[in-house]
Amino acid sequence: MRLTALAAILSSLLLPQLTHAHGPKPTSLKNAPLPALPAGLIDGASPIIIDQQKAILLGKALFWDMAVGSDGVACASCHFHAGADSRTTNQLNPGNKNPAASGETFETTASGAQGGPNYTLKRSDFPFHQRENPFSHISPTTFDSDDTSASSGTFSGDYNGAPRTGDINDECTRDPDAVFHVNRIGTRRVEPRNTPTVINAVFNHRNFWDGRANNTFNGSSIWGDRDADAGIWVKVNSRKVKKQKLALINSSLASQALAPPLSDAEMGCRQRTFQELGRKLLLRRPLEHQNVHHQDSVLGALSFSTVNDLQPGINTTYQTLIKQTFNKKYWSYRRRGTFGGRDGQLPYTQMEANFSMFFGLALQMYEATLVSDDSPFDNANFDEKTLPTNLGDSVRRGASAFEELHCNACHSGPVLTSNAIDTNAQLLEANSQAFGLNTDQSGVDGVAINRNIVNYDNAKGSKFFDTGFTNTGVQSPNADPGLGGFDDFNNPLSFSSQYTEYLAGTANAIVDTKSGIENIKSCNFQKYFASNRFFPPFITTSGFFREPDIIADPNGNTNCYNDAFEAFIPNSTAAATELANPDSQKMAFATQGAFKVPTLRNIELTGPYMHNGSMATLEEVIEFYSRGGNFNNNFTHEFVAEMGQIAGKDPVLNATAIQKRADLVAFLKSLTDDRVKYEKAPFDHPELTVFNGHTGNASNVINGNPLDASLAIDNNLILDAVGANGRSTPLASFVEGLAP
Amino acid sequence: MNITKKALILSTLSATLGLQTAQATSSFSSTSMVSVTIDSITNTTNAGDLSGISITEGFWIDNTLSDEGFGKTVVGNANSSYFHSGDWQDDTDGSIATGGSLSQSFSATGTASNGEVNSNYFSFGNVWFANNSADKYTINYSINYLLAANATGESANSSVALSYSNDLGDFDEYTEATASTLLNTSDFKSSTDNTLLTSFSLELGAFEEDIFYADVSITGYAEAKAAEVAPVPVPAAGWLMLSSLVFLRNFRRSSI
Repeated sequence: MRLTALAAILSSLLLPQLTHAHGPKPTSLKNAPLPALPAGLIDGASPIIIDQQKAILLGKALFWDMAVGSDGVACASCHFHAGADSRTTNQLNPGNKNPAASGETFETTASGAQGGPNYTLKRSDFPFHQRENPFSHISPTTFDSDDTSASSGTFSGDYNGAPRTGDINDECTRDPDAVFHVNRIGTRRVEPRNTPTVINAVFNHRNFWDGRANNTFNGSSIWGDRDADAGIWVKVNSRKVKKQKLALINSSLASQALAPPLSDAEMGCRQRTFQELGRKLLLRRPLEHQNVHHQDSVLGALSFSTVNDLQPGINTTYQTLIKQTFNKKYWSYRRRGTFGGRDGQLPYTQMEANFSMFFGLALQMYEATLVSDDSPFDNANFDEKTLPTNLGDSVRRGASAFEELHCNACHSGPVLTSNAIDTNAQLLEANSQAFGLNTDQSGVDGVAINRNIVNYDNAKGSKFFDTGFTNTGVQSPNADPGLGGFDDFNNPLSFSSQYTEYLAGTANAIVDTKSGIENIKSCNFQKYFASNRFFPPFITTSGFFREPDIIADPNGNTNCYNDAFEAFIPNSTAAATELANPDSQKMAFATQGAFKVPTLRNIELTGPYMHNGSMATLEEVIEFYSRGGNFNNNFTHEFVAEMGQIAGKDPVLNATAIQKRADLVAFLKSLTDDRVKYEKAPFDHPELTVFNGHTGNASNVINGNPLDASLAIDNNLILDAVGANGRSTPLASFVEGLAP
Repeated sequence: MNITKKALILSTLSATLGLQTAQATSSFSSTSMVSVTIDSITNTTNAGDLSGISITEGFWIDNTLSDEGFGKTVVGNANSSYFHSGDWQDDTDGSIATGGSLSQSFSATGTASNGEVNSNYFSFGNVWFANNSADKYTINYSINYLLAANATGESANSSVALSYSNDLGDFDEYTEATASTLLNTSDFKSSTDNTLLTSFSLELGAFEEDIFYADVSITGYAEAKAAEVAPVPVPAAGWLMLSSLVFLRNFRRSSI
């Protein structure tokens, strides 16, 4: 269902705005619906996927298979630990999202070490922004770095080809990287942003920290409808095949999956393509060099392993799995020549040409099974205040503080993120009180764009924001644009920007054509945008007031969150004028430096925290919010700054504040699912060798990597295959893996 | 048009393949046989008058995928080739009467000894049914096909696929046989056969026509890294072709 259509239905369920604005509360994830599957994926006369279980199997194999990368990096290589990455060596990026010079250089770490490639992070290196008094927003800054703690991936290189059997490494021209090297010996490149967990990511309306993994999957790139060249090849009959557009909504994970294998920081050599990856993999046995547990919840039935004898691989090939999973119209046209190719090589087949679609959808089908809904919080009893009653006093107080401090305004609902737009909207549609009795449910009602107050300190008023993305002031908004960035075609990533351009009459302003932006009802914004009241309901610098600047919203004034007086929009002239005025707040949007609101589930296991990996512990995260963020800027959400106002009053010596912080941590730890902690099904997995820095240290490494003599020798972290019953030892938190 | 079809498993040839293995050598072979038999032609307007119907055939290799084109890439000591034989030729003369049968064998084989070969061969087959009169006709015809793939040695894969359909869009089918040495179980190293008989009832109105398409694709991959070269036995594809011809002869005899 289109978001705006859903919003129209739901808006009738919304409580009046006078309701005390506590916002949607966290709830159990048990029985929460997944985002609705797109029409035609598994249903209809000719579904794309004909066997869902095989799709999950294919997806799990691809996710964990080291052959997917150009040099042994699997998807799981950065998502192996509670769906995230707990490595501590060679995890620093110079902050290359920052256009300033410091984005190109590694900084000295907080502990005084040189940092940089192959550095092993220590406890005393965190956080990356430090104050004399960590709880005070006015305390002097004693340390700040734009370096990020993320994930090391590939050496990369220039792609030349890949073997179809045997060796899993691509043939690339590899040289030491200009940035990632130690004494000119190449080290593995590192991502600029922290790896988020893949567990529960299926609920995200858009993935990646900046939301660029489009909600609509086009089958061949991450950009959804934005990519005019995207499409898949469909067999018409035995003599004819044609390229068609694909537009599968709620498929951000499929969009996301298409980026890492081609990224020269994550998994791939430059100029690599999915057609080439398909050619490399199709004849292969999945996981051919990695042990598969005989009790693996998905792969076990096809494994060669027995009780005391683990064996690599599963008894099939990738091309067989694709044939079993997908409708034959996507792979059974056998003539070549239509799909392009590389000089000196056989032209691509239809199966190779559509490999990106198979890859993306299979990954999505597997990742959709990674739902952690069995934490103590999920199984708790709740009172009339929607607070847990049987998890101890500290957790209960922490849950209460979580609402009191408005954490739940962004970390909403069962996934604890407002980015779970479709799921939250479905729950609200079924039950108008799904997120707590007598609470303001706005923000979880399926509206993908909203409007709220930002920049509390300067009180400049309301701005648009994309639901599920917030600027919390972790870094300067200039250090990383986040949602304020642009796609490969120079279109803005944010819905808010598209909406304002649309109102201003800009041609073709809406590039996410399935997002329903044009159907947004202005009367559903949490804060007013345009009003026809006699007296303005807001600071008039924040919105439009009275005619002739405003017109009735063509999307109507019924079933709205606000009164019909606010069911107006500016006319295109007024909108364009204000949008062009950099000093105007009326059309402003808070997308610069805004990042996806992450789930808080299993958060104790998924450090480091924030989009830049700058915090090692939950206590540091709460310190950060206690001081109202690091960089209170023009795009920071009001509640972040407000928390600083509330908690910044001598909190260090205040026993109540100390207890409250401890309670918050206790609440957050109640969100850990033991199946994740002990890697039980569905979180079990095959064997995986993770590259864990290089032999040596940040000053010296050893050259002679088998890939190329100019590259450093890898250190390996070998994760044994684990079956559905999991392990006896729990996963450690990130901080437990840090040197003192 | 009323199309009905039924499938009948006729036989498999796996017992006759005589799998060939050779150390430090990889090889693949796939073969196909497609036969169309005109079971009956009935003039439903003027009984007995078959003068308005013509049935002609065509068969050709996709030139863009020939040995001279980009249908094959070879590295080191390796090679592949294709061969075909049978009744389907580019022939537009005359009609095929009831009981007449057209059959075609199309095969490919490849070997690698310290080298690698990737190949893809593609053939087109047509049977053109044309009603050149104002009468209505019912034509019953059968398609019989046999697909067999074989892969032996160090690293090889082969697949033979048949796509058959008709121009009027009543059916569009795909079937294949695949073999691979890339799995360490014997199941996949052995060849896979697929033999079916399917019948169709085609009704052609005044001056109506239809084309039956039968296209065969054979992909083959063989790689052997070891330097030592072992003598390569008679390619399995040859056995397959011969056995299929024997089979075909029996089939034609029984159809007439």
